[in-house]
Amino acid sequence: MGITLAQLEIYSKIDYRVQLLKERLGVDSYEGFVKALYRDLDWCVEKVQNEKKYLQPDNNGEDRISAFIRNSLEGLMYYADAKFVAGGNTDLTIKSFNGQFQWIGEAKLVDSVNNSHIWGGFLQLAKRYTNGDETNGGILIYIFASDAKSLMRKYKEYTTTKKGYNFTYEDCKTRLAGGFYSTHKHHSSGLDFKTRHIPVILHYNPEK
Amino acid sequence: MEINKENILSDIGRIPSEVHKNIMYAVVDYAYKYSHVKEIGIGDVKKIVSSKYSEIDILLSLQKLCLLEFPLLELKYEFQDSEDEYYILSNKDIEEAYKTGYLIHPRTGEAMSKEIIQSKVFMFFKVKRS
Repeated sequence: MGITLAQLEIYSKIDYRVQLLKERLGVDSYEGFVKALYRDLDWCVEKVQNEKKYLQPDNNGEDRISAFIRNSLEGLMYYADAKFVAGGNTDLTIKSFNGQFQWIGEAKLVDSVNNSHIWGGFLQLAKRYTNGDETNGGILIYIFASDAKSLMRKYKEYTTTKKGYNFTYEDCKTRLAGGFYSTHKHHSSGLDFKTRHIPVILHYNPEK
Repeated sequence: MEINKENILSDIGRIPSEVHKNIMYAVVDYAYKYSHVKEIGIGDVKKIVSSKYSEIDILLSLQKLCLLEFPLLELKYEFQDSEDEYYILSNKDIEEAYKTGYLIHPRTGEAMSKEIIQSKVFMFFKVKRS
């Protein structure tokens, strides 16, 4: 005999990994995969943010953060590969464990407003690592500066000045410190490509 | 490539969590040892693994066996109205029930409340071995 949905709800309250079980197991399309992944990614970002004290920048700062996210995702049954590249980039490839679906992200670390640095990550994502056939990707922005929301707002404004993209925007309803989605026509596929810009708040400056 | 024990075991080898791996290996052995077994639930697994594992770890392990490249298990839903009246439901039925807050009774066409869905719809894992 199986378990009732009421029992499942009780388990979900005890352990997040059970919460999206129905959704993860019901995924039968790329859109469904991205939807479930984004909720799981939100959970991983919250976990990282809770550990920010131990993840402050040093020579390996962003690698550690990406490795933390990778391990959390693997626990949720994704296959995640983080390639650490010198110069502050991490390419994060996340696949469904059955290998059917894939999402590519780029991680960028900033300790002050640095629009061109984040934009570089977007260009790598949109022009190097994706062909636009998979129509979603993202940038994880590891923010060590204070006021992440303001930093994200300035970065979003910066993207509006970029010619040839004709971005349309949508606010993110879960990453409230300036998270947003942009959509543009991918130069390789010609399809609409939706990028999720995800702020990860890592500022840590306790007064006591 | 087909779903067979060798492929499943090799797939499990890629998983990082040792806790879940042990449970998964035990379930695979059980499913291939007893070929008459068509479904597996938490209760069945509790009988074959150490009591140190929580029900949540068992549930997560069963989930993982559904998500492998060569999945041993498949998640199914069943609405059990009475001892001898039950109906298999699809993922879409469940998705719709969660969205609308009610489930249409497969025989009577009556809309059933969330409370009934919660207590009378069971999820179970169907074995897909070859």
